[in-house]
Amino acid sequence: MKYTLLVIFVIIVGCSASKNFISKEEKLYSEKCAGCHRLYPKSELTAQGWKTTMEEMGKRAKLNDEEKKMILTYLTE
Amino acid sequence: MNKVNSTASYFSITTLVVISLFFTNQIKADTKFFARSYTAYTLPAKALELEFWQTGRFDKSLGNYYRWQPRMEVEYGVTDRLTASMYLNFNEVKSTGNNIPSQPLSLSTTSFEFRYRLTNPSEYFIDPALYFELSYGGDKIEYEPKLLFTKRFEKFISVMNINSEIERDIAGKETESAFELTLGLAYELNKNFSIGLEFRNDRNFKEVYEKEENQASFIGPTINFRSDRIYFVVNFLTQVSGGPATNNNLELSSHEKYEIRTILGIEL
Repeated sequence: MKYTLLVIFVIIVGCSASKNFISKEEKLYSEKCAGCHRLYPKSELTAQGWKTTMEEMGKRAKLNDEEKKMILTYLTE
Repeated sequence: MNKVNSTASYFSITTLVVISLFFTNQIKADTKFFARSYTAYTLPAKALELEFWQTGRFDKSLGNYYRWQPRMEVEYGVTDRLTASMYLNFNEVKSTGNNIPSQPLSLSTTSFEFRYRLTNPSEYFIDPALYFELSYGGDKIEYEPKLLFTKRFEKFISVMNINSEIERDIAGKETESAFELTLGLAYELNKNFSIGLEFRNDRNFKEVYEKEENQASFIGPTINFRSDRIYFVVNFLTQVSGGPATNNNLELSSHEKYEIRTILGIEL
C-alpha cells in the first residue's frame, strides 16, 4: 500500500511541475514534435538542414504553413 | 465465423493491405516504442494509421499449449489530442496433452478505443493521458479505462500504464475484473532503432475487484524499428513470478509462461 501511495505522490508531483516555454514557437515545437520523437537540440542541424527536415516532417506531423514557419523560426534563430 | 473463413479473411485482408502499402510512396509512419504499454502521445489531427498486432502466449507446463491473438486496427487522429481507434480481435488456441480445449481461429471481439492527451508533450515533468476502450463480442462486453504516463529524458523514454478491465457476461450475468500495471524503458540507439525493457503485472478478480483469484508478473526485452513508412515492435516476456503458484513460483493456470507480441504500424 505504501508503494502505491508513493507512486501516486510521484505522479502528482510530476504532473504539476510545469515547464516554462520561452516562446510560443518553442511550445508549438514541443506540442507537434515531441509526441513522435525526442526534441532534437537546435545545434543538431544547420539552418538549411532544419529547412529540409521541416519540409519532410511537416507533412508527417500535418503542420500547416504557419506552423512550419513558426517551428523553423524557433529552430534556426 | 468458422475457422476456414476467418483464417482466410484475416490473412487475405492483412496480406493485401501490407503489400499495397509497401508499394505506396505516400506512406509515413509514427513511432511506437513499446509493445505492452502506450505512451501518453497521440496521432496528429487527421493522421490515419493501420496496425497489425500478433500476440502469442505459450507453455503451461502441461502438454502443448499455444494461444495466438491477431488484431487489426485502424487509428485516426480526431484532433492533436484525441486519437480514436477501431479494431478486430481474433483468437486461436492449440492445445494437446492437457484439459484446455483447443479453439479455432475466430473473431472474438470488436473494440473501440479513445486516447486523450491531457497536456502538451514535455510541458510537465510527466506527460499524462487518458484511455478508454469498449469491446463487444458474442455475449460479453468489456470496459477498459487506463491512465497513461510518459517521461522522456534525452534518448530515453519511459512509460507507465495503469489499466483496469471489467468484463461482463451478458447472458450469464457474470462479471470478472482485472488490474494491470505495465512499465517500460527504451533507449534510442539511432533514428531507426531503439531497445528497451518492459514489465507487466496482471491481476484477475472475481466480480468487480471483490476477490483476487490470481496474479502474474512478466519481464522481457523490446526492440523497435522505424522508418519513414513503417514501424515494427517486437517484445518477448517471461513470467518471473505468480500466484497461487502452480509450478516453480509461477501461475500457469490463467497465465502462460511466455508471451511474444509484434506490432507492425503503417501510417497512411
